[in-house]
Amino acid sequence: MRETSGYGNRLFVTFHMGEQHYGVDIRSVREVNSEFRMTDIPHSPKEVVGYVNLRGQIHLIIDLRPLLSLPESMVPLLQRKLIIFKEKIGEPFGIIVDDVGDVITISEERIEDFNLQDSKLDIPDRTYEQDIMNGICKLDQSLMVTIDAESILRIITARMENYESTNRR
Amino acid sequence: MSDFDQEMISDFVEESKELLQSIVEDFLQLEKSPDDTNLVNKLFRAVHTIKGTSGFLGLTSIGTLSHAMETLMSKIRDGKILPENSHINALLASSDLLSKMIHDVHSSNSVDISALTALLQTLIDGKSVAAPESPPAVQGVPELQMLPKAAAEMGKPANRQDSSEGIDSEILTGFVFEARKYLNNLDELLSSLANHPEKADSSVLQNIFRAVSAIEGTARFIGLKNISMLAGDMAAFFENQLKAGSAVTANEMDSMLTVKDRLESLIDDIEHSDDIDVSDLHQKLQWVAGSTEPVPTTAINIPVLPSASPNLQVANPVPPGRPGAISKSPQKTAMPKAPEKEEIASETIRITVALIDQLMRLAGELVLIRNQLLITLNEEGGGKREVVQRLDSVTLELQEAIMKTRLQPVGTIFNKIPRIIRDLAQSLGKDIRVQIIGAEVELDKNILELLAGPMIHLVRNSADHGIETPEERTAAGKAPQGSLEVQAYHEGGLIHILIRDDGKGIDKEKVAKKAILSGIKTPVEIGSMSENEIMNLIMMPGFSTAEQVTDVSGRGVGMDVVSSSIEKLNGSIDITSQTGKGTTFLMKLPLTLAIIPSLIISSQGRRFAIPQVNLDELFSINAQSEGPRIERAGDQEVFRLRDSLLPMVRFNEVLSYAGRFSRNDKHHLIQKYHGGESRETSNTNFAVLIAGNRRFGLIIDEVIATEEIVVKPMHPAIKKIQIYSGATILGDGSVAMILDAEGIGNHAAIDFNAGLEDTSNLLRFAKTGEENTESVLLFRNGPNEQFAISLHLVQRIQQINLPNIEKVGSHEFANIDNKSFRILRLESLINVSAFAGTGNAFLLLFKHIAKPVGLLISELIDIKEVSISLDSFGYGTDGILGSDILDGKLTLFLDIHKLIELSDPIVKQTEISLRRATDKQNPDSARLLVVEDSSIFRQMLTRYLAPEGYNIDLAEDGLVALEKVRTNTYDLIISDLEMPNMNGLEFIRELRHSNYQNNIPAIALSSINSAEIIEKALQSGFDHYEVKLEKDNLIKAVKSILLERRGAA
Repeated sequence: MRETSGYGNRLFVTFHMGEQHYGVDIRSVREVNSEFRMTDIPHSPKEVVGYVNLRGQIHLIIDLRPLLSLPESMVPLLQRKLIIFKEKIGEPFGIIVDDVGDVITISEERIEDFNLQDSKLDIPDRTYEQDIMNGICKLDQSLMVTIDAESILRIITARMENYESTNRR
Repeated sequence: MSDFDQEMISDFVEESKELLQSIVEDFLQLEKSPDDTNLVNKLFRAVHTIKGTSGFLGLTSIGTLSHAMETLMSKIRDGKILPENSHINALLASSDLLSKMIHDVHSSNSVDISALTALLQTLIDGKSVAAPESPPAVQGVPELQMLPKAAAEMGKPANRQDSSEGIDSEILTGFVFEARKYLNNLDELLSSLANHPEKADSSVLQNIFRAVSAIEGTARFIGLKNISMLAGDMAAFFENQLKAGSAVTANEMDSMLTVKDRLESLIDDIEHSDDIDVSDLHQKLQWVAGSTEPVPTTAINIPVLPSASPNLQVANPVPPGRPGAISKSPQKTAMPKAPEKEEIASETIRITVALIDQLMRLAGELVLIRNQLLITLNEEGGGKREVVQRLDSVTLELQEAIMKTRLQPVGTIFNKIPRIIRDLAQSLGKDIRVQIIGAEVELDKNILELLAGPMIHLVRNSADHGIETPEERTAAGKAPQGSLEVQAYHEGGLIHILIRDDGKGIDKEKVAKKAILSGIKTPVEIGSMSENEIMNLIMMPGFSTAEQVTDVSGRGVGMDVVSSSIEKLNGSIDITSQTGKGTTFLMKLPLTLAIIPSLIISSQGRRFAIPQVNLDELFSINAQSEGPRIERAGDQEVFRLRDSLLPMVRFNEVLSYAGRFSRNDKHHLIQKYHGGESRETSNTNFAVLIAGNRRFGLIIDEVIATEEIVVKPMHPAIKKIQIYSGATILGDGSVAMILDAEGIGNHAAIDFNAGLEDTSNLLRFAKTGEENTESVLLFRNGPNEQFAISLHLVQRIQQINLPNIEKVGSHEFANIDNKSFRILRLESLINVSAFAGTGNAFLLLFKHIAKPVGLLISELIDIKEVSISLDSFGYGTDGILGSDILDGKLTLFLDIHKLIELSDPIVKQTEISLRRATDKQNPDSARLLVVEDSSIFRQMLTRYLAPEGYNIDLAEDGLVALEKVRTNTYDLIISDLEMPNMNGLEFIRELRHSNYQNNIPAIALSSINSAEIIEKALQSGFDHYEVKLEKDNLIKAVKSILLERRGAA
């Protein structure tokens, strides 16, 4: 049962980091937040911004920029926005983005798959970038990259593994 | 199966579990009082209820077995059978099997119950099965450990006779050698798994699996049944774990270690390995496997151990030829009668833990919303305050009530103990009385679940290795019946659980030897350890080795696992033991894992929480004062804290280095802080943290407050960061990380042995396991601090009216009994909050102080008998002896002499100049032995005598002092009179009659000022008598005696 609006259409919450537009499937998003207090977590990998408390529940906040090889944000931390994912995506977490845009409807066929099955196999050392961005879609004036929310925690966990082994030597 | 059925069944399971729990207890009770009709009726009803419902739900095996039990119970009820041991055994065994089937209710119909039903039928028919040669009684009982002989008769002996005897002894020796190698390996693997279950990757599991499979394979080939069975079980478990990829729980770990230990002992005595009965363990393993994954229990047994069918079938002498009869019987049983069900239904309802968690979270949320409302209201003013206040109190109450829903009585574990001990005692031929106290004490459900394994391990350990057989006990002059006491009680905001036996105790010498041999400790380190510390070594990982079982009477087997599971619960465990008299395990646990008292500190501008259980004391090194400093020992910073060197860790640096400190890092850091001549200009604050059995100082920026925090686990994606144990939401809604003491110690690569070699000149004394208790007066001056002062020092507490205080110049005076007392105000002497009394206040007047001064305080709190561990005292800032946490509040212990000094700078000045002069006079400082049982006085005497340039050694009673005199030389002894073990008079008499330094001058120091006592002391051999805390006199006396001695020499 897919919560699509109309046949073959998908709803995306759009956001941007720097000049680039991104979208994440609305079915994975629980809420968008603009007021928060961030507690940073020393020793965490640089993708982890910290913890925030949202209504009594602690959420891990991830910055996608290092994963997408983007430079650091020019927007001050507390002016950025949080996109919090639903629990089915993973233990409470969200991402921090420069700003959140509209929710847009896009028909399925307009999204081009970023990662074709065979290209995945060809590249031995795939970058995280390729895991997170799963599609691309042409909008009126720009391109929107669709983000695969499910891959985010998986990548952080993997980063943590590497981080362990590099630090433990 | 429909949802309805599913629901019915799960209700049935829950209900039956509750019933069965009381059934076991009640059967044991029935054994003691067989004619208790109420009890019989209760048991009958319970069995009847299970039978009725299970029949209705089509659970035929459960129905049949409970039906047989019911029939036997009805005969007992009608007085046709008087329950004897054999009946109780059979009923208990049946209850066990019932609960096993109920735990895995869906496979229950495939469980073979014929052995037990046959046994029950025999009993119902009135045949005596208690006769020793009657096999059915024996074979039907699954708990074969009770009757090991019989177990050996069943199928096993045949195998043994033609296998074991036929085995080439060379093959056996080879196997033993190989198996030991694997077991040693296994030991390491298991303990690493136990210590870091979260870090268990498949390679560890794979290695474990390989090792046990190897043992199993060879053992089966040779025909060693027991070994191959247990190893097979273990292999099956880990194989399953590998497949499932799930973490090993503490409970399972516990079982695995038990198996490993059993394997070790079997291999140690390989010739007789099949004479011993291991089916209890075998069964337990099925249980462990079953509880992790209910369905694949069978899958565990089949692939690895095709030959070893589930235990019950092995033990079953009756061919399973009656399934037809069984399946019919349930239909005959009627629906359960309503009234019997009501009994349970009326008082409780079942709620899922998830729902409670959700309620808990919502309550937390409510608190935050209330806080926000309070803030906006304060800004607006407005008249809604009353409403908000009501909201405030309701919110609090709601939060507390929800918290309580998670608590359960420890009785759920305790009640299992009598049964376990009974069985164990029977099989070991021991007579053990179990005493349970405090079963009603409540603990968080999560803690209880994780505590069960370690608890059972400890009581088994006590019964197995601690308590002797009646013969041994009689020979040792003890009552033939051993006693095992299990007790739970509240103390200091924690739950204490005590397990005490009156057995043979732990042999410290052997423990020490073992620790040295296995390389855990060097002889130097052992030399510096107290008996208690040595005993606690048995909980070190890697302490238990193959020879362990025979060497140290089995203590220490799996103890490291117990200790690490307790630590995981944020608790601690301590062992005290007296050879020949018994052993006591004391566990201290938080009430709940969810909410713990903790200290909020800050470093690098961030706030962190330190759980109170990990916190030993707080300490401040005053930059201006003369006290000890942080020093370096190699590349490790250390602080001389009383009797030991405390390794120090700078938390700011821990935060800055994301990786574990390398040698280079440590070297770099030591250069940074100890490279130049620069002394620290600001005060250094540190918290002494307890990490397992070790302590270290964590240097932090600031201590902020104590707060009850709600613990939230780390997000799984980053839980590998070892310096945190979780996170919490502080009162203002922000998140703070909770520190993990062990993780920090590990991250900082602490060298716990640093500087040990050159500590011979340090003040040292043996610590005893017992803590000193002192009466202290608790009081308040300003709003922020709680103070304590030893009650010995207080002469009287005088209530005064503030307006009656007179001011003369810069000093204040009060008139008491026509005498003028100068008033000391704490806030003007030390850095504490200002006096907050109005109208009436109190003045403390002190004993043995020449100057008429009184300490002004605002509020008396209590007089308390408190246990002050020596460790909770430290040289803090001037005027403060140290700090401790009393009643959950940080309490400062005042040094009244110092305070008086501080109040009178002129006195201090002269004293310092005097001191300098004496320093020059005594370049080769005299060695003093101070014998005193009170830690506070020991502390004070050291503080007063050390600046005079003396080397001071301490002993806490006469016995210790005598020991010291034998090994060290002293110029003077100062001894208290009233002391435990050996008092001052006995000590001096012993000393004067001994051959060791029997002419050392000695000063008696007592708080008693009576001619009679003085006379007695001098007669006994003291040279001098001083009243305690006439400090000036004491120092004078010391000086003159030493001068005399020097002159004479």
